Amino acid sequence: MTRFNQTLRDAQARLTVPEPARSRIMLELRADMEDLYQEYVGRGMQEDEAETAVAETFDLTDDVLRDLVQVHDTPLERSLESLSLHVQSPWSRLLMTGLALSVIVGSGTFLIRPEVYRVASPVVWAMLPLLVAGVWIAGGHAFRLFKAGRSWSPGLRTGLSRLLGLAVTVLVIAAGGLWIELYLSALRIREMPRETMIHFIGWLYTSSATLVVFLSGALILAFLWFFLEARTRKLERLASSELLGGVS
Amino acid sequence: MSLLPDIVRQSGPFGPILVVLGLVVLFLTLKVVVLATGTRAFSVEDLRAQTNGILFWGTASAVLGFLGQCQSAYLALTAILSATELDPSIVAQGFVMTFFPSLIGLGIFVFSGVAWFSLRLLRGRVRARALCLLSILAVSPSFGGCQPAPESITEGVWALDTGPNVFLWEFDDSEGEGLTCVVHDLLGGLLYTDTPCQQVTLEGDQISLVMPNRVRYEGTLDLAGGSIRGSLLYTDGSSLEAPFEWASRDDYPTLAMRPGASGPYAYAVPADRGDGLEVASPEEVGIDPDALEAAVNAVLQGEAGMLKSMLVLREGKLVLEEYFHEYGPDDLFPLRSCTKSISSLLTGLAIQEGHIPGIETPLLDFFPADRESAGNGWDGLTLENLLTMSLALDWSPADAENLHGTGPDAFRQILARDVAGRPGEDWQYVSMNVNLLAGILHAATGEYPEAFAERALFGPMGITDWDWDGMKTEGFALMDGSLRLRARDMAKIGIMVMSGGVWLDRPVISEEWIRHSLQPHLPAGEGGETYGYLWWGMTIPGPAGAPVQVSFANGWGSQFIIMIPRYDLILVTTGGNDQNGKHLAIGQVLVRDLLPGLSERGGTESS
Repeated sequence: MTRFNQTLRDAQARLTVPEPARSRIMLELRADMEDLYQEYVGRGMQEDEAETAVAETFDLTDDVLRDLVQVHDTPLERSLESLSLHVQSPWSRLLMTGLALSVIVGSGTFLIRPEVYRVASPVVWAMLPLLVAGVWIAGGHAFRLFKAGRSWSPGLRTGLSRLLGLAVTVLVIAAGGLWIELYLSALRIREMPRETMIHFIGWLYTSSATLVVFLSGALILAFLWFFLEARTRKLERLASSELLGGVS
Repeated sequence: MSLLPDIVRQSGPFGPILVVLGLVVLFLTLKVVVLATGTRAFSVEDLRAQTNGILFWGTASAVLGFLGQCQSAYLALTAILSATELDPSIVAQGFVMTFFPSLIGLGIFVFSGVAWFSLRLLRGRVRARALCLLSILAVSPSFGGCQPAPESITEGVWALDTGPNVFLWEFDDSEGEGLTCVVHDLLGGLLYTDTPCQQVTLEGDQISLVMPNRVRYEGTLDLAGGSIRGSLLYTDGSSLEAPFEWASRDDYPTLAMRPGASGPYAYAVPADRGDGLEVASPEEVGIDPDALEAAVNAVLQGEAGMLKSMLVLREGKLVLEEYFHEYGPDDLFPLRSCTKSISSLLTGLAIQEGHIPGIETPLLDFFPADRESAGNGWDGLTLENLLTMSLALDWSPADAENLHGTGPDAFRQILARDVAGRPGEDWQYVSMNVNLLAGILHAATGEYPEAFAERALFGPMGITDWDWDGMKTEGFALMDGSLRLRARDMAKIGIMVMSGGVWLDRPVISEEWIRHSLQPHLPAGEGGETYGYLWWGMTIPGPAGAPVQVSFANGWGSQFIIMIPRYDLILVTTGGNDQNGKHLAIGQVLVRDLLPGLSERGGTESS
């Protein structure tokens, strides 16, 4: 629905925030205005009255717009934007898909070996629930995108950045695991100084197996985020151009 | 020489992938250098994104290399720990090899970091100074060089880069009407619209004008510094700082009708692109080439406002295909309200396939769930009333002009209106109503309009590159104005319609439907136009002064498919004449330059 397009276009011209945050603000504003409009109409207001009431409620002064920008244009959001920018074009998506497949195939041949898990630090098992949670979030998001088809709907982006959060958590746990293993090796070396090299090599062995597992898990979560983010952003871009483009 | 291939080969499965990533980083670096130093217009945001892309893929290389090293180390240590005898030199060699993927990844990362840092430095003022220095040293004649400050406000353009859009003010005082101004809106580097601003005054260094959206701008002109510092003043009392920087017109080559072209325009026969559109020389179809050149020259002189493309066809053959402002044959152009005429064709196809009983079908038959909540008078409204814009609903004038939307909510909103006039007699142009066709086609065919269009119309006509996603809601396309097509495909539609529904000797739509669609059903507008089934009609003066009947699809901003059966002539244009009063200016070029150049060859007065 586009009954508030003119108001939104006026507001958009005054928004001092770069894309895609600007589009996102516009889309959310439109959805909120539309919800309120429907609520007013549901309460028995005439359509014209409801439109006026919504416009009054959403008094989009410069101060309000500045507040909106502060909410939507945080350093974290900007960082994520700059990351996701690089999987927008078809060639970059193709490259990213190739990269994902090579990691899946290259690491997959390792991850199916039981001895890797025997050698790796036991903390690799801590990654399992995180990976499951990530796949669950990604699956839910993919389902929402599938349901949305080619149209944007409010809340489409909700929770998406959690995937990256999980990937970072996986890496933090990996670093912790390596540190614990190094500490344990140091304890062993203290007990048997003559076997220092053996324990050090053992730590390297454990570390390499642990890192392969953790890095692969983190990369898989990151790839899921990239692909879902790219699709979500495409829908936002389409919806935004529809909202602000207009027709004759 | 063979060291690098050896390292790649010994880097395990990720070696070749790292090489690909390295090439990507190299390619992106070269691309940004060419973009930043070339003459083609670019958006600062785009340049920034491309520069960051170098670092992004460099980082990806480092991560992939590290993963490769971990895998190699694990394999090497597994071999060492399971060996019964070890040669220390072989162990050392193997250990070194485990570092190869990491070394390649880090190498790419370091290169990307250096490239990123250097290119970031070469932006903004530093870039301007560096390019200025380079141009002094004559390193590259293509560099922008040192731009002198303008001598007057009418020199060059004044730019405000907002990200996706770049707004350029161009002032002029040569017409003897005082200072005037045009706002060029560039989207993605391409000129989208040209719009005049109002009430331009310059007193001393104080400038004031009213933007096309009725927002006032007040600022201070600093010629020596090449800037205008000021603010947009909104009607609600709020304001926004909007600094404009001076730039040479050459910095924005797409402002020119024919960027990079030199010398006068010379006609050339269009290229045959193998898309089913037959091309011919003007002589083959009885057109004076001078008439075509005169028409194009008139467009180049701005007589038709801001046109993006112009195609002329006679006897079903393309004889002129010109694109302006760097648009091209592969670009998709927004059809605006020409979309309505395509929607009319789809309705005819649904009737032809038996999905809809006929033009007299009551509209509520397609929306049974809304029968109870429909406004007063809907029982008598038919599909024909909808197609002829004569539903006579009680829309306010503002809604009739501005409201758009599709999907179930929009359908309900339309159906809730009351009939306030005489259906079938009172013509009122309400774009919103046309969107009911999305629901009607879906209810009748079981397909969403986009899918139906692909199967029944675009597919059979070989139209493969199109977009109808704009403002689509819950699968329902906007039937009143969001289709985008190539100009050549608009021409194909014109040929098919003027041929009575036939494309390449194959019937697409019944000749009867086409005839009824183009036939004047109601007077429309105040200029003597008529309205068929979402197709416009009018008469224009022919070469001998006799009126000539014209049928056309009409989209705001000079999007036209104009068909003149009398001369078997089709004119297709796309443009950005949204707010400059030149929407219909191409008509003058058609009547004055094109029609007199046609020889009499067997056209018909009606298709």
